[in-house]
Amino acid sequence: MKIKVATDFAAAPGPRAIVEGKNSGELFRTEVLFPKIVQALNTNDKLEVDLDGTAGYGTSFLEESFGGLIRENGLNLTQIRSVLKLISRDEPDLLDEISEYMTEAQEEASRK
Amino acid sequence: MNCRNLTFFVLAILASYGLLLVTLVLFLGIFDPAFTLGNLIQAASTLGAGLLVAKYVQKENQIQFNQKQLLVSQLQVMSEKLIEFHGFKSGGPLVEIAAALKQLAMRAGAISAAADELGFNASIKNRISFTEELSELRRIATQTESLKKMEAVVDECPAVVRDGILVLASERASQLESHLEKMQIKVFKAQIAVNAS
Repeated sequence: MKIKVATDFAAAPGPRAIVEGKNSGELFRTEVLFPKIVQALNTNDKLEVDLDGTAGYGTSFLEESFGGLIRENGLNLTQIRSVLKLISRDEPDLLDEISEYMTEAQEEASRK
Repeated sequence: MNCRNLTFFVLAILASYGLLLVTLVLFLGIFDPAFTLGNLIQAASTLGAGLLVAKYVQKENQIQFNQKQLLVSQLQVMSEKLIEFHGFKSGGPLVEIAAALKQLAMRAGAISAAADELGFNASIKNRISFTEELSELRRIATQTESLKKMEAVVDECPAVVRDGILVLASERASQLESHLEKMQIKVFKAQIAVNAS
């Protein structure tokens, strides 16, 4: 399974929350990412998320999309890592940043 | 004086020595009955070899100089993009800010890749790496509170977005300006380091 953000969601990703503007991370997570992750988990498939080809990403969009899977959707980091493969040739450093957001969200969830 | 310059210096001396030898041989040859063609060939060979190697080293120096110039000019572009980013010091359309961040990240990536390909040493590569600074810039320039925190402390948010327009509170704006300044200084120092290498 594959999601290409630029074509399957938006060429210009926006803010964190739906109320903040269009193409938000919250919308991407709820409408695109989370359903596909659940599908991948159920079918033992891999989900490739290609981040290239967009105008660029803000921290909050990425944090809400990927950290939100743990914080808002109740998944855990191990589950996500078992199915998710991120691609970013344009900005390879984004991969570490996203990994950090998910780790922080997991740590926060574990403390509660 | 670095190793390459020292080599060039030694070879220049050798070439000068060869030239002197040819002159002496020709001069003495007029008066010395023992002067042979072999003496002349030997002297000319020394001169020729010295000149050839000196020419080669000079060419290598020119290539290295051009490579440094290339890297310095790319760093200059990065510096100009950082100056442009100051336009977002109080916020702006989030999509435009994210696009500017992407351009900076891609430029930084291209600079690092060029340094790798051109064989610059680890110290230079370290000086021209902006991974941490760009990650921090992205955070300062675009991070807003999570959905739950947003509901709780909306009046104290350091950054808010309305209709896709980001507004930074004065504290965050100062933080952004200070970080941009820090990055520009790093770019400047990197340019100096590349030139001095």
